Amino acid sequence: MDFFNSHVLTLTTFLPLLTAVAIMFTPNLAISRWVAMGGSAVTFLFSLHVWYYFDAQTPGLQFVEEYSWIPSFGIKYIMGVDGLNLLLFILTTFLTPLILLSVWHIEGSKQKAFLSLFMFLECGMLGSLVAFDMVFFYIFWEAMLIPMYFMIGIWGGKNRIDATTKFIIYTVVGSLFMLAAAIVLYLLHYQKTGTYSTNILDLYTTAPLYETQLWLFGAFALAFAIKVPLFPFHTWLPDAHTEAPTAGSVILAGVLLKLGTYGLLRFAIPLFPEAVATYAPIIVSLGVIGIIYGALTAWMQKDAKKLVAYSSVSHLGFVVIGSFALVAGGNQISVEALTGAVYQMINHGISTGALFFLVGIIYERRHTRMLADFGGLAKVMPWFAFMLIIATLSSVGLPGTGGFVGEFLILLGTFQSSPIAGITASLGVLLGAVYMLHLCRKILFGPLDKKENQELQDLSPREFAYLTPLAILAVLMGIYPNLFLDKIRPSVEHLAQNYKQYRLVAAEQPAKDIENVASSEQSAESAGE
Amino acid sequence: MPTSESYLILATIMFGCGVFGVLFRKNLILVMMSIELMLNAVNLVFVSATQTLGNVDGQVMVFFVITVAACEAAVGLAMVIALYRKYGTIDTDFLRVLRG
Amino acid sequence: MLLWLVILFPLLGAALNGLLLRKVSKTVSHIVGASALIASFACALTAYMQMMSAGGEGQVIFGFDWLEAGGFKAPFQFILDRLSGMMMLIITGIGSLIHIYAGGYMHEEKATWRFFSYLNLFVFMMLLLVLGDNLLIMFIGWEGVGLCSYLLIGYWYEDDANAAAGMKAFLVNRIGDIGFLIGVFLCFKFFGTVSFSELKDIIINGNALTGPQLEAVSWITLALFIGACGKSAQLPLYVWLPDAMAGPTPVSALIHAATMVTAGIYMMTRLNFLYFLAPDTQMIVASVGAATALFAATIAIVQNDIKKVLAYSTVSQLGYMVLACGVGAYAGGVFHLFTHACFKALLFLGAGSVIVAMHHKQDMQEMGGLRKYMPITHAVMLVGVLAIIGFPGLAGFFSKDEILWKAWIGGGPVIWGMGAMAAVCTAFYMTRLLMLTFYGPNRSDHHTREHLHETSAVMWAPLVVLAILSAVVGYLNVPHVIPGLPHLLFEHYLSPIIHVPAAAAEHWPHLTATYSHSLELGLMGISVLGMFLSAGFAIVLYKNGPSPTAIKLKKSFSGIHKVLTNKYYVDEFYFKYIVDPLKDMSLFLWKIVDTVIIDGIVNGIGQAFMLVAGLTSFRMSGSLHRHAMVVMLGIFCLLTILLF
Repeated sequence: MDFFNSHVLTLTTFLPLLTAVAIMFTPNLAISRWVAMGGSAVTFLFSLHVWYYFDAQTPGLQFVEEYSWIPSFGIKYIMGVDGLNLLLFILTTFLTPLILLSVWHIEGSKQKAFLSLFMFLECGMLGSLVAFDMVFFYIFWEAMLIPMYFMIGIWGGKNRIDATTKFIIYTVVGSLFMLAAAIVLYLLHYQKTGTYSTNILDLYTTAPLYETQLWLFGAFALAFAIKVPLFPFHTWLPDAHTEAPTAGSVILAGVLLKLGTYGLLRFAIPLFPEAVATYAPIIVSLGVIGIIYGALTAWMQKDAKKLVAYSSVSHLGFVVIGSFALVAGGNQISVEALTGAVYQMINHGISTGALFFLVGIIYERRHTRMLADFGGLAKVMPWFAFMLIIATLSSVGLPGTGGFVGEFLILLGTFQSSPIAGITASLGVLLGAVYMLHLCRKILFGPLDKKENQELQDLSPREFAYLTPLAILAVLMGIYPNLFLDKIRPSVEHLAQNYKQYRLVAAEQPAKDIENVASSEQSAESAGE
Repeated sequence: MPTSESYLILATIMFGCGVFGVLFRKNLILVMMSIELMLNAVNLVFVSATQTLGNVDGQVMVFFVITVAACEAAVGLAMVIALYRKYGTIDTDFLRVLRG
Repeated sequence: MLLWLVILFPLLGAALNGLLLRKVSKTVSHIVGASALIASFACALTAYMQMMSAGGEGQVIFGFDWLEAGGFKAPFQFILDRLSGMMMLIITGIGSLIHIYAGGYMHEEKATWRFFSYLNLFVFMMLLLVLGDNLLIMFIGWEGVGLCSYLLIGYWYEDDANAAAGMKAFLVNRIGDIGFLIGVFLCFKFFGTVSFSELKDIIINGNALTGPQLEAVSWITLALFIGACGKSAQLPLYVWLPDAMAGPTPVSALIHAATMVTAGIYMMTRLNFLYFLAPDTQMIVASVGAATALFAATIAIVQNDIKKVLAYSTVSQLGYMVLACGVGAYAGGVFHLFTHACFKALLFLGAGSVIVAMHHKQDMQEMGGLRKYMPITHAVMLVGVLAIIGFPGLAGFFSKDEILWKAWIGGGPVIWGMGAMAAVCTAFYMTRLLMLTFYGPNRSDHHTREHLHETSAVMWAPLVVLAILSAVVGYLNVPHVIPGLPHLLFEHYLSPIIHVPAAAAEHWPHLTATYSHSLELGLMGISVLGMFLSAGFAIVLYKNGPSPTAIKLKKSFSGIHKVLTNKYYVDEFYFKYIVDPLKDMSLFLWKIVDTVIIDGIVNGIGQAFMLVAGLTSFRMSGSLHRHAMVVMLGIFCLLTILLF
């Protein structure tokens, strides 16, 4: 048990990789499905362990694992969770089994490879969330692209090659800027302290000169802004989403995009705090433009999936402005807005994930996603309608769903920071309702006049099984947000109030109920050193 | 007992043969063999350096190089076979897919 | 504890009907839906009695910490006081009657689980709205009722027009909701709290407000009023309410007449201490209210759809309530809310009975003479019409005249004049409605006439209860000028809720001043006289269906008539100047900005590389040996440079 507690992050991260390898050696698809499901379920259980034993009293890093890897370059293997990545970590492990369930029925010789790639992707996402070493982070960050590239490129729609190429080139261009900036930071840190370190916790102390920060922040922010995607770097997203298979879209919207906003919070802001104040107005403006722009563009889409894709641009705009809502003369970030931003990341993963699932369900039945081909589905698919409405409500931020909590806190904080930005962004709430209700109306309501639609089957038990958890969570997050907010509060407040001199240390006690185990483990470690 | 210079001269000749082979032979198999020759020339230099300097690092590197060379040969030959299957020839004059 | 039951019963009903009882018969749905409400009403009544017997002091009931982040706190907490208690009773009481009625109305539907589920959910949300102790809980209800309204308007979703009407209602409400949200943001920014009781403490008992805070109060109240405009269908956001009549009639009665649309009035009354502090906002509120009252009343005159008439009448009556709030007569506004809930629910349900009898035809031109076929419905509708036009002795008389009186002393002759004009119009169009529907010859086709009959008891019994209420509730607030009856009971009842902050007292002299009875009597006389004349005119014109005079009048004023029938072209204006430009903009952003400009730049960069590559690639012969030779030469050069 003590081994488990001190290595739970490594185990959780690499179990999917192990599963991915195991899937390659399974004799047939049926077994590989069960292997994938088993692996992802155990991963989820592991992450729940992290959730349960996570100490909500401290902003410090917990479940830390630290090993030296290449000492001469100061490269280490460090993993940890705090309030900023905990929820995303769980969201990833939570969505994976659901997605596997959604592709359960797909046959074909290539499906085994799909499952394997998917588990590989999960490993990449989990790794980049918990890695606290620049080199490891970068490896995981880029490793995620490989499975995504193939998932869109092999299992995608008609223009899949164009879409996947666009996606990769966009992302890699940003990443390379980040890599260059990271190397510069690494050298600056060496100049300042005389030791090489790629440990992010060490790099936080670097505090380069203001002019340098401007450049480095720009490079980091570009990489993450592309991933988010922030207007005007968003054009890869609609293409990638439209061409990707349902499973790919769900994970792309659910987790991959959040890595961009997470990166802003984890790297760009605390590493280059002086530059934040300079860039904040620009980024907030882009965020607000993105909110309005994404919403307006979504409204006129004829393809349901593209509509949902553009809605992501709008929703992620909220997260970005929430992360840059400076108050107290630019010395602090609004706690409310930052809490909302972290919360909205999760909520968007749930609601948009559900929306992509739902669009996928009707696409499978009708082989079209054009809004004009539907209408009146509420009559033949009442449960589908129920789920779609719940997802819609969460997406438009109706009070009582998670979307409201996130958007409200973000807008509240942004308004304290800049009333104009707050009011303009509020229009996004209105426009959000416009395009989502438009979607509902075109699909669910109106006359059931298309012959093909009259025979449609309602949700199957399997589809129920992966939609229900999302629906429940969407409502639960709105009714009892404290369940989640309590866990992230110290970390968020710590970042919001001290982003100018952000320091992160490993928490003294890893967790509440495993104190004895943990302390003996710690002493063993120190003896080993 | 030959001097270290003589080893180096031999290695240079071997290397030169290798370069010559890579540059002017048209058969891919022979090109690969020439590459092996160059690698072995390097190995020879390592071994002679070990003898001269009394340091085993060179011999360690030789094993390393041999391993890598074996891998390279395996992959290379596999590719040659694949090329042969696809184009029906391994004559480099006919393999000009990269022409701009 | 009881209060929790009040709220949970409707939620339980909604969940049962919506999730579990999808396959059962509609009778079961009806029984579940209605009994949830009746149980809720019983609990509400008990809780209310307990509260009143304990002195009527407000109680705060804490649930759990709901939303907390940084300095922001919004606990899930309820307040039960005289105001919210009364609203709770109206919602569950009238709600129960409407639920019972709905069973009869929806009798021909195949499956009603959806209907009763939404209706129960609506009651739940409405209760949250009135019972919430802070702006945010109120906002849950505020948007929640909007959602239920959306779902219920679009209940018959197979008709695309209904779906469109639901969407319109939701979106127009959302515009108001953004105003509400901005009000919440401002409130938190300047007062650090959104709780009603804390705000009241700060304003009433705390230190004098600072300059920025005082200025902020004007903005807060204005922003919240935008929210009220959306929900309570005031100019310029009233456009959704007439379209909302696409929903089943019980919905129109419950949501779009009795309860949801009064949320704005409730909210302003709840925050009366803030509104008192902002005389500028109050001026706007009063003007908007008066304008809406008159504006909607004029449209109602020419409508032929029975529900549309009632819808515009509702907008107009809501205008009265808002006007009352604007002149500081909150008790008057809430009292009118109460009486209006009774008689407008009655009128809508009565209209519903007529519609059922007419096989879902709503055009009054095809009705007429229904008195013979539906005597009970006719009797109760008569009471309702008399109540709404302010016939002396019935509910509307007391509540409306109170507002008009306060409009005179608080808002001046212009505001009063607009209100009085609206009252005259109301008398006309309501009498017209009554005449066209129940009197004169029957104008329906043969088939419909054969099936005309009185509705079942499950439908008329609630109407009778409502009719009795409409007749008597007015006596709860008899003005001073009428002797021999207990005066202004309701105003006294509500007075613990109304707080004029000391700093604002100078702006509200008329609240405390005394006025001569003769003035009040005189004004009352004028409005009653106007009412009688106008109603009489309508009787003359329409007692035998549209008379030749009516048609001649229509012709000679065809310009005005056309404008009124087209509702002043407001919808057309909104579509042409707001919706369509936005759509164009949206297409422009997608087709031009996204596809051409941004992707153009991105692809341009790619193509630039391709171009450069194309210019240089002729050097690539593809010959392995040439490449290897170049590599060797390169190495040779490098070595030469490095070694020598």
